[in-house]
Amino acid sequence: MQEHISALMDGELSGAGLDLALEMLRQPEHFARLDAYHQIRHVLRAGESAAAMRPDFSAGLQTVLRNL
Amino acid sequence: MVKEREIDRELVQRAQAGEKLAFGLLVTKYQRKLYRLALRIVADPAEAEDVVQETFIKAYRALPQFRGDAAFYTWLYRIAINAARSSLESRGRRLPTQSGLNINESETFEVRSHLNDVDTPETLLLNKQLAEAVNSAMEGLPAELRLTLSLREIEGLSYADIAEVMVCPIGTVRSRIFRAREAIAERIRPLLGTGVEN
Repeated sequence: MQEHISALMDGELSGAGLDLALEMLRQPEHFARLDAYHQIRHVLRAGESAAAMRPDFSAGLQTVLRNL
Repeated sequence: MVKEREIDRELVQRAQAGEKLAFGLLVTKYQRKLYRLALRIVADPAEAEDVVQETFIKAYRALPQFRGDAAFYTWLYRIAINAARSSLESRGRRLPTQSGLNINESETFEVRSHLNDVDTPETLLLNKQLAEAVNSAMEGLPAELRLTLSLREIEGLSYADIAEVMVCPIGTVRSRIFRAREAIAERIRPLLGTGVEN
């Protein structure tokens, strides 16, 4: 089932598969998994010039936005 | 790229309907690209993070007005450029004339100049460690996983295209990409400060 999260970020899900992935992503550990996959993509495409943010920035931003 | 726009459209529609998780996914997807863009403009890591946060707050509040005439990321990048410009002006600075900002270039990671000049020693170290961990993990992958992930992330091929190139079912492509990402994620989680239980 975790494959759904990987497929989601590639735009390879629709319908029930998409709904299932979104439901899984309500769990923080799966959300962190998706964020790690995006970090990997970012590094693979840009290498050392990927310009990393502070490690805790992403989680902090999500908290700010949840409270809007 | 068409599929990327389609999934963005789906997430935007869900976010407009009040599903905050959908907006959170868009944030996760674009935050690093926006940070890179903002850093290039304001040339200060902390200020660039503020710009990214401001951009997403503005985007979230303006989401009901987003009609989807342009791609979501194009709309988002315009908000980010304006937020960065405002940040500069509030500090009595101006947009660098040599920045040559181009939304498409930023999106495709073609713009790489000068970023190292504005990074702090800490972020430079993190960039280096992340790149080394990802590259090392990639090299340690079985050949078929490494090639499949490369075709997806570097060449940008769809699962269907990869299946055709590698002469295997789409389900195999999907599985290989997931396994490759998991193997690499395992290596970088200590650097990201996140733990994921399998």
